[in-house]
Amino acid sequence: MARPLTIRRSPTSATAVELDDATLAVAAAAGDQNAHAAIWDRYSALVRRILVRGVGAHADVEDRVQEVFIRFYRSRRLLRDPSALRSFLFGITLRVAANELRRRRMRSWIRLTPWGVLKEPEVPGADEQARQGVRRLYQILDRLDTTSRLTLVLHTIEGWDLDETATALGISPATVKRRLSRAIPRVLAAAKADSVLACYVSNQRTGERKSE
Amino acid sequence: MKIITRASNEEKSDTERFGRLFSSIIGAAPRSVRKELSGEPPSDRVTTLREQFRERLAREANRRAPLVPAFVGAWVIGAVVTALAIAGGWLFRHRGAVSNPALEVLVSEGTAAQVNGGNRAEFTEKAQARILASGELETSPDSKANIRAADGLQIELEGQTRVALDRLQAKSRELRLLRGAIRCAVPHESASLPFQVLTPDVTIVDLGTVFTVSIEGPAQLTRVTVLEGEVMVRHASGETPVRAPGSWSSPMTAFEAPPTAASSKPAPMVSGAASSPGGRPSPRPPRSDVTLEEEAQLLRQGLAAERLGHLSEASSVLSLLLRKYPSSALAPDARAALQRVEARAHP
Repeated sequence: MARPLTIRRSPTSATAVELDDATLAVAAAAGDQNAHAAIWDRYSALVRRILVRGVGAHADVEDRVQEVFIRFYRSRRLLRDPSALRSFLFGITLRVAANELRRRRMRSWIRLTPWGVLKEPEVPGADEQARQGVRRLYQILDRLDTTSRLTLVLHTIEGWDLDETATALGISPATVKRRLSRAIPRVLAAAKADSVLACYVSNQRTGERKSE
Repeated sequence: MKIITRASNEEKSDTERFGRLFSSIIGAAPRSVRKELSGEPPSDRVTTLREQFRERLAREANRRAPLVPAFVGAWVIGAVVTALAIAGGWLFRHRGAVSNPALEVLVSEGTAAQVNGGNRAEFTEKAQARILASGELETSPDSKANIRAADGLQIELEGQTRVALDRLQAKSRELRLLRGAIRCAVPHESASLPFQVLTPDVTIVDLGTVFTVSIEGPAQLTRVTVLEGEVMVRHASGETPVRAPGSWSSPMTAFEAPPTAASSKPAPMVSGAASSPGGRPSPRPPRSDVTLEEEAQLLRQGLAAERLGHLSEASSVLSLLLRKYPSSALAPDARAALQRVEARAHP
């Protein structure tokens, strides 16, 4: 049995950063906290981006990021192939995102707030309409079911290919395609009907006509 | 082929259109929003967030592993819920028996005892008690006890009598007379089910009446005397209605002669004084499916007595089965049980 690697230097040091995923995963599986910190340094931004794009930018996003890495710490021994660290982490991230979306939906059912989130304070001044646009877009995404929403985020926004998206979500590529073909027209139609987003849709059409 | 290509192109253009819409919305948003959506934390918070994570990680590492893994907890909860559901189902099914299981026992003379498994509860003279319809009730010599059920049914036990109470419930109103004599007074239409007395060889079905049943002699013959109303006596050769004042006794010859051809024709009705002991129905029990039920009942009764340690009772019931139905399919089992009983009685 291979002896687990222990990183004794600071996780921000070149040594930790330069180690490949497999080596870090082996050290992390042995419970090395520096290895976990190094994995945090390497993947926290990516995890945060998936969470923000998947569930929206909310105050508790940092809690969710930490939850992903703590869950990884708890389940580190379940990672059989150390080189699959990245996809293992993304799997946890998507489960956390899905849980968060379900939790929010539950909160909206009990009418805590219409969309299940606490109302964010209005920020006066700088480009309020653009902020509104982002908020409205996420409100439309909130209406999708969890799997469709994450499919849309990973494939269309994050640019993952069909196979990658399907593997991460544990569904078939055909299901990914089916989900997308149903979700995107719904989102586009809702955006067109929205008073704030309608101008983005019409600008886009004008741009399309000009390019033709 | 063209249609498929067009559909695929439409999907692709929809995907691209959504991507462009998303980019244009995000692109128009202030820089802080764009940065937030990119997943990069504010530069002044990078160190704080990392430290927070390390602290939480250290706490997590120091946390003691739970004594019981989460999945075991889930299994335990599942098992408890299942057990509760089963218990609830059982209570629902037996709600009649649970809500009204009590019998009132009054010992007018001598003593009586309720035997339930290994427990024995003694009742002295003039004692009045409420008992559950379970186990057996027996009286000592020269004693008398009364059982009264909530529906008005009254059973009087003579001395040296033993009855099994476990089937005397709302779902099955059956009393097994194992030894001695009883007098039953059953109110008319007291319950939806008829009251029945089971003896080793017959079943007396009450039709609303007062009657006595006794088991007599070493051959354990049953004698039924109807004082009021009418009962139906089910025996090896069919059914015999007995009206008051009248009586019926088990056919003695049936135990001596091996059974012959079946006769589905019911035995003639016995009624009035003329029918008393001498007025016996068909002397030979038939070999038919009707007798099989009785054979099985006798074997069950013998085995139950063996289990309870009532060796003489087990011996007499099993002997009765073998005498009455020597060519029964159950005879080998009965013989084996009898041998066991005799080995225990005379070690």
